Amino acid sequence: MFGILVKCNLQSFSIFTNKSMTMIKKGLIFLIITLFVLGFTQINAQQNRYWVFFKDKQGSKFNPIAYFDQKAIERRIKSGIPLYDSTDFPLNETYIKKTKACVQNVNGHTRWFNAISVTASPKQIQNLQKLVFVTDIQAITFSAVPTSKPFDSTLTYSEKELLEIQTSRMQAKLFTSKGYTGKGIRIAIFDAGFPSVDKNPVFRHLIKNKQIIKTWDFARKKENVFVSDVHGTMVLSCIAGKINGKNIGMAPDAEFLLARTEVKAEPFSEEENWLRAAEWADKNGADIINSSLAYTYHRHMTFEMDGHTSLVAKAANMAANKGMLVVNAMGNDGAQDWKILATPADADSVISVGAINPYTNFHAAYSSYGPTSAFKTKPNVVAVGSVIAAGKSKLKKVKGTSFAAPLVAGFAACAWQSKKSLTNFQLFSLIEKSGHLYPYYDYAHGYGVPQASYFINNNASLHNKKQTFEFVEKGNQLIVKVKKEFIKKKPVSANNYLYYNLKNEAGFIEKYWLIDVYQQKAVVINLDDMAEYKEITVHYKAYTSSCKLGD
Amino acid sequence: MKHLLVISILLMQLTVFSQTVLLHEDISKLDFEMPSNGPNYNHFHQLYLNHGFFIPDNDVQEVETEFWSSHVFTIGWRYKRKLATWFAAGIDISYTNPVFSIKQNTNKQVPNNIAHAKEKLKFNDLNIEFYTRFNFGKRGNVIGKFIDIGAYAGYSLVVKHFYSDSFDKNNPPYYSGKKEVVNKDLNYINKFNCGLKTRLGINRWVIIASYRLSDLLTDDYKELVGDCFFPRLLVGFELGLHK
Repeated sequence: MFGILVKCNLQSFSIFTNKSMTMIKKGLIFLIITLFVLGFTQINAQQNRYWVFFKDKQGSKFNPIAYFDQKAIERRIKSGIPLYDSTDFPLNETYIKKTKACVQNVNGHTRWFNAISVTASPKQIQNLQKLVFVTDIQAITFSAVPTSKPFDSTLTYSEKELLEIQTSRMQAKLFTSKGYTGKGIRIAIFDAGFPSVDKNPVFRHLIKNKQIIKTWDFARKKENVFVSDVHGTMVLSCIAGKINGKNIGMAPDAEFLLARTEVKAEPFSEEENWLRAAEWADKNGADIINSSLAYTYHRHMTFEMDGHTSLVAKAANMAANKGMLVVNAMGNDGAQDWKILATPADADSVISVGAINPYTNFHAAYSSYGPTSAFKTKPNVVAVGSVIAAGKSKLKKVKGTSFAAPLVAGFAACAWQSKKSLTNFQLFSLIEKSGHLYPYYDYAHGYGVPQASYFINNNASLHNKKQTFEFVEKGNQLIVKVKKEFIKKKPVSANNYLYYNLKNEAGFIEKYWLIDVYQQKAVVINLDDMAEYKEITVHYKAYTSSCKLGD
Repeated sequence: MKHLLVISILLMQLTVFSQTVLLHEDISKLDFEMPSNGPNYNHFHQLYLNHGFFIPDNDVQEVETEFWSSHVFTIGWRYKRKLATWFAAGIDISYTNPVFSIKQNTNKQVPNNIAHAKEKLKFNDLNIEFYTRFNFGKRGNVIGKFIDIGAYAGYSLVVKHFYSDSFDKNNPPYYSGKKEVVNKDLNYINKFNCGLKTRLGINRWVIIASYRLSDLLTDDYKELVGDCFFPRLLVGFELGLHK
């Protein structure tokens, strides 16, 4: 083959000798044009955005009373967070001025991370590195995909049923019956746009009662966020929408801060926008952040989903450290090659929300799986992923973890209203404990769907006291035997779900199953094959129990 | 019939007493290590399709061709070896079928000066290309924005000279009909060719251009008809077929 190629080339070159130089010249011109295009593209590529981190905030003055919203101050006091925290201090003005002189443009800044975002060429970055007050420079790269898959359909009988299911799975009526509708809780939503929110009847009560406290479009640097992608409108409706006197979400009386952070044409600024929106939410007294945004393979590798590599994950953790409860969608890659969660859902301090199918009540195939690449448990909880949400002009059936997250954010607002003294981390923990599977856990369902009864009944455990199954050891077999009275014959009930997982020597859940039980002998395990596993945990009809293996 | 009934009952029993696994996941199968294969990992290969048109440069020596019917379809396989975040090199093997639709006018000299209703030169080529790739911007496991520069060599497996003519009763040869002729084994065509290629793309969407440096016509033939050449520049669009 190679011989043929050499021969081919030689023959071709023998042809050149007979050709006029014109042909070669044209070839060279073609190459020069190509290189020119390459050079041009490279010049463009070199005009990049960077975070420039400063070493200190020396000399900066800070008055928390003037800076923070009253609610932000209250939240800090409640959470025991000092009002004078250096991460909230403004940046050193001299550093900003000196940096500004070296770059093409300053795009924004972050108090939390003591950095400014700049547009600069590599040469300018080299000059910046020489400045004594600059500790680090990081290229800004990011892109986001709103995690939704909208469907255009009218509200049929089954969709009305779905509208009921999406909140009833979390026992919404228990909260509303006690008057918990998110009142007094401020929720910041970061999304791609909120068109029609100012006109849509679904949000009329929010406008009428002035519940939308502030808005900011971080992409266009404008106050009007009622533009662009309808994704944010649908997300907001899943927290606070109301139609014909019926709630779409669980917190119609909450207050809102709406931030447009996503940009269609220029994805590189989205990381900056998310971080700046988090600081803005903190400044303006947000209690909860809902981010139905998932950043995956376009800019990241799976091993980077460890909760502390991406800047948004760091920002989300910082937001939690400031006392806010951050709720984020897991992502919709469960059935894709990526499969695992997206950032910032990987952040430790974020409540990461997966989706269940509203009809089968178990994991929706599209919902991304945990754990993080550092083997941290994610998702934390799940909610219904197929919902009825408000579009620009009509109600729509849509699906995605984008809509499960705001349902949980609405739930969290009600839960927080019911127990105002809780800090965000305490609430985080209680929301996990309110999961219908708790203490059982797996990486598809987390601790299950949060239940309002847990908060209404003063944290009374949802855990069934009635033993629904037992472990029976027979020879080298371990049998999970379900008690006869807890098996409903098909097709009377379609909900004989038995969850079980196996933990390895390191204590990590390595394998997990969900089976529909038809008979008492639900699971049979050959102990000889289980040497590598330490424990089996089973959950069946609100009863969870574990059995050590190899003892 | 009785057997069927018995089998049905047995199957029903089996259904009643079996368990349905609704979900099963094995975490040990998740790969969080840096994989070696993928659009932005060390090795990547993909299939692709492209289509391009020959761009005439209006040189007096150039064989005049019809623009819209002088084109190339390509199906190929491309391998990329990542050498740095911004740089990769690779090899590309493709099958192409360049078609030159020759204009029928008084200037026509190639392959002869006889005018026909339609006349085409059709090639079936196998090409190999070596290229370098420059990527722009940090990215995840996607191809991203890139520009390729490469050189290719090709061998024509089959070359056909096709022409067709229509006749009517009023003119010689005084009968109505259509004649289609296909000539193979053309001794005036160089079987080997080579040139330069470039591609500008974002993920699977690519603009392609190539410039043929070699001549399609043999030197002996050009001594007869003059220093003629077929259009060399090709511009088109490519679609990557990877996931």
